[in-house]
Amino acid sequence: MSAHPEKKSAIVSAVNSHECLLSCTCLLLASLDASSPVHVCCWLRLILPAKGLRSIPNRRLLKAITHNAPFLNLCWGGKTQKNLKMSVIQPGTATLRKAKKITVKTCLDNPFVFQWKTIEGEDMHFILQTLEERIKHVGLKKIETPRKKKRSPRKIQTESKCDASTSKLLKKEEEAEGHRQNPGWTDISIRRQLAIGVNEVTKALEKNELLLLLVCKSAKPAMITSHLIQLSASRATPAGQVPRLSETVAPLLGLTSILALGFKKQSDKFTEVVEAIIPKIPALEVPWFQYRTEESMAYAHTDSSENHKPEQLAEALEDELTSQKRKRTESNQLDLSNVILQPLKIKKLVPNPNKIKKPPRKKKKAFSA
Amino acid sequence: MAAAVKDREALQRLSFLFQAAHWVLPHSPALARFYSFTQRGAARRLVLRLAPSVKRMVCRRCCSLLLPGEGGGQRLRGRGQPRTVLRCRTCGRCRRFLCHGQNWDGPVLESRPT
Repeated sequence: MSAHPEKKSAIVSAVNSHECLLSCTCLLLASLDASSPVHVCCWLRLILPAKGLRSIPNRRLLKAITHNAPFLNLCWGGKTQKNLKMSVIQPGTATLRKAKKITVKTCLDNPFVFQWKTIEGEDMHFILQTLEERIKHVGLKKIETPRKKKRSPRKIQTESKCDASTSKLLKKEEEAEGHRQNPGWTDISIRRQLAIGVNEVTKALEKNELLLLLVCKSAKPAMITSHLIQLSASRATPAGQVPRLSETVAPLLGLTSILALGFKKQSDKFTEVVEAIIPKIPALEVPWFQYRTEESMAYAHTDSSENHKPEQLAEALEDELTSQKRKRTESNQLDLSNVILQPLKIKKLVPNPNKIKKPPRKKKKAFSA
Repeated sequence: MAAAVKDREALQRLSFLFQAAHWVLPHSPALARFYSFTQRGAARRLVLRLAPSVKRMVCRRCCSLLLPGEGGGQRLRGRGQPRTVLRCRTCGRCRRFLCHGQNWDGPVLESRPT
């Protein structure tokens, strides 16, 4: 069915007279005789620039069209619909957007999940108690110079004048003496045997200095301490997460909060505690490190390959490795007898769930029309 | 959805590369770097989204795989706004992430719902 120019002009004039786009399209459809979708699209494209719109702004219109012209239902699906979808640009009115397809985007998620295994119940209490006893026994504490002390002379200065100067001096001297006695830690040598704080613990772990690692569960966000799992597993250091570490140990040591605590290898006074605690801690699961230690133990079993997941992939990997082996004779042979391919993890995202929009840039709109 | 099926194979390839890089890392960091390079290239060509946790493991500049133990040192810095600084050891590039407070579900994705 070719386009009838008379009809065209008639419809265009009708369109201009009618404001509602819906009614225009209804008119249009009424005038058509089951024409092919391509022509319908052309018709609509005629209408829209006349209306001053760039494209059909909403699906409501689509639905209305399909409702009115059921014979067009099938024709709409496919190319035209895609075209319409592609060319949709919101003019900015919220009322037009009712039936909206929430596009779900898929993204690759991390297949490895590392979680701390929290030690709870008796073990936790035992650990905390032993720690407390030990710290009290040793008498390690950090005495911080509270800032109020510095301000108090000023307050006194504001209150009293002449006498204050002498009293200030005296107080300052006393404070200075007090500071000399207890500036920071009571016992520096013992302080060196512990690694207190996340940064210190990570540094010590990287240098392989730690015997034991304790982490507090109350870290927010949990990302702060999550990297320690992999680190400690790589160095084969036992590490445990205790729920209330910060609450119990921090006031003992005179600090506000402790998220990570590490015992260094040279510690004299804490070895008993360490030995008592170590058996209570469950082992951490980090696949490649565990298997690496196993591989080093049992190196003789090279041919046995027990792959759980798709074998083709494993074979491909082995082929790659063999080729690698031929190329490089110096590198150690890779033993992948226990490789388990983690299943694919996909995260499904709804982009912009709160429908937060960027403020529209007016400059761009002027150019694109 | 047809689109998901196509991507599924590609996503499987990506995750395989990622895991392989982890396994290979202790033996040859160069190979791990190659794997992550291919992974990033594949994701770019097909315009696939990677989770931020995956992206952070890979250095942006040199594409080497950063494990907390080998490759990337991680520190907490900043008093007012605590942030983690992730430093690649091979190329020395630093990445900083803010440690958000308690009420934080996820990043606000800026893509418009079209």
